[in-house]
Amino acid sequence: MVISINYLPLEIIKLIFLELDSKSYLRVGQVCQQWRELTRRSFTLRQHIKDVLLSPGECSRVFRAWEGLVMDSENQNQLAINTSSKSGNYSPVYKLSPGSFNRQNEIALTNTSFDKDKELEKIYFQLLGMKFVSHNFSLSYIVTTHSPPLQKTKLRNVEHKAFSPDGTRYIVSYYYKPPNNEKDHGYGAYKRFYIYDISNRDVKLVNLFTHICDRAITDISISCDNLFMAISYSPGYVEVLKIPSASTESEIDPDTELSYSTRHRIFSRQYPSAINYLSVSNNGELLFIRSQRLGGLLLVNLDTQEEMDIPHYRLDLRMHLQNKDEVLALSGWNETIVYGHFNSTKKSLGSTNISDTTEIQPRVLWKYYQDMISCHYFMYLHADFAVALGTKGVFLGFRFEEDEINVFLIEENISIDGFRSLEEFIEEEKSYEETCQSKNRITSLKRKHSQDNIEVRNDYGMSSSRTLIEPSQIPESHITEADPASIELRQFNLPYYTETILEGQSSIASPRQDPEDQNDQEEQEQNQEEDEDDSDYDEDENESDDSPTREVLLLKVHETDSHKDIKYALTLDGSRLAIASHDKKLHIFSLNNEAIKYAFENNELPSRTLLIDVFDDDCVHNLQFVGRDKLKVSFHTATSIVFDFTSDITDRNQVVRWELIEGRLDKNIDPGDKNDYDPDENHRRDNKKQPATLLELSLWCRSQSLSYNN
Amino acid sequence: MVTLISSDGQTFEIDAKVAEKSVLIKNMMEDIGDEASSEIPIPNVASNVLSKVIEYCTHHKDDPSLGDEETNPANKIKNIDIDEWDQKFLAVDQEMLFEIILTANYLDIKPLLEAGCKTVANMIKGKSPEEIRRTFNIQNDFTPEEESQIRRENEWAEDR
Repeated sequence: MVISINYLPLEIIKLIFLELDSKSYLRVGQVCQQWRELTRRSFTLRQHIKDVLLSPGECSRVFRAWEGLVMDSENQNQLAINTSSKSGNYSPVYKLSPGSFNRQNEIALTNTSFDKDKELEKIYFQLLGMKFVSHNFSLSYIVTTHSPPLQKTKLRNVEHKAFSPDGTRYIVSYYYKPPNNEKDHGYGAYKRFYIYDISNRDVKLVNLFTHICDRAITDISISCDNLFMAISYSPGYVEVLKIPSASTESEIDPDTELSYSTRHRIFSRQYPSAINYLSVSNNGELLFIRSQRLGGLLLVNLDTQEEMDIPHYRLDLRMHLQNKDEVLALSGWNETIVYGHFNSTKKSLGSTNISDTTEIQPRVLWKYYQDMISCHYFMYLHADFAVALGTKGVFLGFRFEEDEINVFLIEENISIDGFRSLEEFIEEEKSYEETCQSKNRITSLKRKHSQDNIEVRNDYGMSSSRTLIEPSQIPESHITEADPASIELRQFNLPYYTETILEGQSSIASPRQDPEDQNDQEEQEQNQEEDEDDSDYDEDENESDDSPTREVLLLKVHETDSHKDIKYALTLDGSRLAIASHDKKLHIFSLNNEAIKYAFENNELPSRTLLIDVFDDDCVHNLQFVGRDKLKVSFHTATSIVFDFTSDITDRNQVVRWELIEGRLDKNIDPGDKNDYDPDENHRRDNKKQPATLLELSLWCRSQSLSYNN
Repeated sequence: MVTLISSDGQTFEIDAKVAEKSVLIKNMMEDIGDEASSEIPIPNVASNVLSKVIEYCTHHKDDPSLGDEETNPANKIKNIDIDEWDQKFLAVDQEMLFEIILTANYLDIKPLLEAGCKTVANMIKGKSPEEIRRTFNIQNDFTPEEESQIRRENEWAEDR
């Protein structure tokens, strides 16, 4: 008979379990029924807590409290502990969720039935949560700079460098004047773009192409699918190029002589002021531009060359696109406006698969933003800069105080039904199309009348400096005769438009008015709409009072300089956050649904801290996630370090320290469990993972940094 | 000298000092008294396992006894390291390891039992539940509902 571990008596298995550290103890409880039961038995669990999780002083206090509860439960069938009536030294107890144990907390148990094992189990999870977070790091690779070969290609200068939104591509543009060129476009007109794949440790050149433009590049942006790139030139000139397909068969020779042309260009336009931000969407559908002037927030439809203006009244608003361009945030000091949200039901959320970004989406982004902007579907937040997270209605916000920067989680009650994700929008569009097909009773007169009464208003009480949404551009879905329930829903959410629909229906048969009367009536209607609009906002405010905004302070970054700056990075799906503070610490937060729920329940969110002591005088210049499980950290001294994440529970008091010693990064753990640290092992691992790939890396790439100048 | 007889009838003649490492044998020897060449049957232990245990006791025959844990609080402090010799001694296949642990438990040889338990614990450390199942050939007998409950219970530790 073969003896396996489960042939051992339970008493011995218990002894084995009591030799385990807390991580392993948690895991053996997930192996099988018998082991789970054994790890949760009060005797075993109590011994484990005593041995591993608590100091002797804490032990006596915690167990006295627990035993007190047990005794009370035995003496009374009903447990009703009144903290004020409780005598003695102990009264600490526990909010009953993992990680929430607070030594200063008072007893808050008012259970009607008491299970001592269950209560001990809860204490156990609280202590575990107190002790651990679940992020671990390992060094992936270091990318250091080096000059490209110059002889054959006559390259002279690096003009611009940028990373793709998903962090997997790195693009470098060089300019030069080729010798003996018949048609001289001027010095610097000849651009040569090198695209590198940096998703793996084996960094390689994957594309090389050329372009001609006799202006200096000020910014480059690559689409999420890595197929298009938008370039802004000085001053105010914008081009969108389709990145030519790369050769996959052979390695690209960086010295290859290529012919120069403008054939990759799919869009170009001159704007009257400098471009502060630009981004091109998946499939080259939309171009997002922020230029330094009022009325400078533009969306350009690259198929039709149409432009859509986002009404605004301030010059400091920044554009920020997320989640494959489905979420647009306009942020400035003390306010942020967010269009769209993540669809947390999406399977791709949290996915690390880069190919997700290349899936073919219907070209509905223009209509999606048109709908939201024209109908004022946005979320307004009182935060200096805010970005949407993967959980609906939850945002990350920053507040710049006198000598510190506070990072908050903000939860808003989203009662605006039109505030939706692209996926929801597409589904809605489909269902409306189906409704339209089945109910083709709508007359063109109705439609025309409805459209004629639509007017897009600026929410800030100012008229836009450019043409806003043309009536013909209003989505047809909103002017079809939908079922009454649907109309009611829209009436709630679309104060202007649904009113128009309803009135339009009643006035279809009314005789045509002369222009003056019509103007008067329009004026009256407009006034009426404004009044209704105000009342709608009042209603909204009342609603928001019912479920007020909740905030959780994630981190305080102390900063005394007048020019405050914080570097942070979010994954594309908004589920992981890295913040760099000036003391060379990286704070990593998981922002998945569970973690966010935990944060709002417990008013805190544990983070994992990474200390990077690479260079004496250096601080983090840029952070960017590569996929979801890698974080790229760039320093001013032209070095980028890529860290891999591993999901493993680790001691929350542990600070991982990386130091550069003789050209090699060494890991040190401070001040946690020294037993986990094997220097030899780390050396071996570092050597293995460090091919010292040579690549000119951007240090002035598009950076997710915020700064606020006092 | 004491003679131990294994379950398969093999006899092992050992020094009394070695035999006394086992609390069970020590008590039996005290019961038997000073009878020369006393034979003690060990019916639950096969000869291959008994020989290993005797090897352990012979190596540790001069070690001081642990004493009573209750009376000596210093003994309560866990020693997390396993002696180097013990590590090599216990570097055997799983079946033999469990047999040694069972024998140590039966014969009441606390240091050997402790070293065996630590060795198994070291085999568990750093492994995921699935890896532990694979290592010890354990069947996952959780129902889907229980699985989902366990997942919920440990979600906080999986991605934070």
